[in-house]
Amino acid sequence: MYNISLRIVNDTQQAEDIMQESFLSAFDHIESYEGQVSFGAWLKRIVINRSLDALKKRKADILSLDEAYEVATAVDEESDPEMVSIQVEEIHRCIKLLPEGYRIILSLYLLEGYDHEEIGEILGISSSTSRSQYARARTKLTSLISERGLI
Amino acid sequence: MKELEKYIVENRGKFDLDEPSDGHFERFAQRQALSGNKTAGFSWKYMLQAAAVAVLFILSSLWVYERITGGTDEGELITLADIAPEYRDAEIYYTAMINNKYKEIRSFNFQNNSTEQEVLLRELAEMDTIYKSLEKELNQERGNEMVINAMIRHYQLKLEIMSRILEQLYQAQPAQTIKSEEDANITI
Repeated sequence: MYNISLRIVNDTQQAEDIMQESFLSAFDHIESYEGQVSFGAWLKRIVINRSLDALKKRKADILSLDEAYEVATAVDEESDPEMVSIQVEEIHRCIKLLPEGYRIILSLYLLEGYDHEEIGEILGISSSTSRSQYARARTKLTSLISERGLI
Repeated sequence: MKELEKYIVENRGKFDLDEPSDGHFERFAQRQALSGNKTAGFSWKYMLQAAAVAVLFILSSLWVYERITGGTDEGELITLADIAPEYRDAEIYYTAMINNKYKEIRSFNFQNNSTEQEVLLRELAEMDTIYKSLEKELNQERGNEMVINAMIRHYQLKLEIMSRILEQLYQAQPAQTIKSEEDANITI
C-alpha cells in the first residue's frame, strides 16, 4: 500500500501518512465494505483515491498531461530497440523521473494492473484518454531508459 | 516496447522497493489511539473485518504484499514447521488452539440461527486465504523472517479474534438460555 501511494504522490512522508490514514479510514468505515471485491482491492482503491486527493491538494494538476507530452513526443515509439535485460531498480528510478501524470497512469496500468476503463474511472477521464496518455508515458519511459544506456 | 511492458508486468512485485521509514508501526499505533474507538456494540463481522484490516496493515509494509494479492503458483508447500523446530512448536500450538475454538463455535447453540454460524465460519475461513498465500511466499523465500513473523502474527490475531467472538457469544447466551428454559416449561 505504501508503494502504491508513493508511486502516485512521489513523497515518502506523504505516502506514509496516506497509507496510515487509509487503514484508519478503512477501519472506521468498515461497514461500508460490501464484499463485492476483495478486501485488498477495496483498501487499494482507498489508498489510490486518497493519494490522488493529496495530489490535488498540492495543486498538482495530474491531468494536464500536455506539458509532459511535449517532452515525450521526441521519441519515436516504433523505433524502440528490443528490451533485453534491465534491472528492476533502474526502471524503478526511471518511473520516478516521469512527469506526474505519466507516472500515475503508467503505474496504475502496469504495476497496479488496472485496465484503461478502470483508470478512466479513477482519474475521471475517458478510457481513450487513458490509452493515449499511457502510450506517451510508455514512450517517455523508454526514452529515459535509453538515455541511461540500459537498452 | 512490448518487451519492456512484459518485463514490468511479470516483475510487478519486485517494484515494491520502498519501505516506510523506521517507526511507522509505532506512528500508526499513535494515530489509531488518537482516532478513538468508534466501535458500537458487538459485531463479530465487524471484528473479523477489522482483523483483516490489521493483518493487511502488517502485510502492507512487506514487499510480499503485491505478490500475495497477485497470487502465486500452486504446488507442494513447505510450512512453518519445515523451517525450524521452534516454528514447528508454534504452528502446532496455534493450530491446536484454533481448532479448539472452531470446535466451540461449531458446538455453540446459535438458537436456530444456523446462517449466522455458517457466515461466521466462512468469514473465519477467509482469513486463512492470507495465511495460505504467505505459505506460498515462504515456499519461494524460504526462511524470510518478515514472512515468518507475518504468519505467526496471523495465527495470534486469528486466535485472539476467535476468543473474543466466543466470549461475546457466551455473554449473550444467558438471556437466550433463560428464554429456552421458559419455553421448555410450557406444557400443552
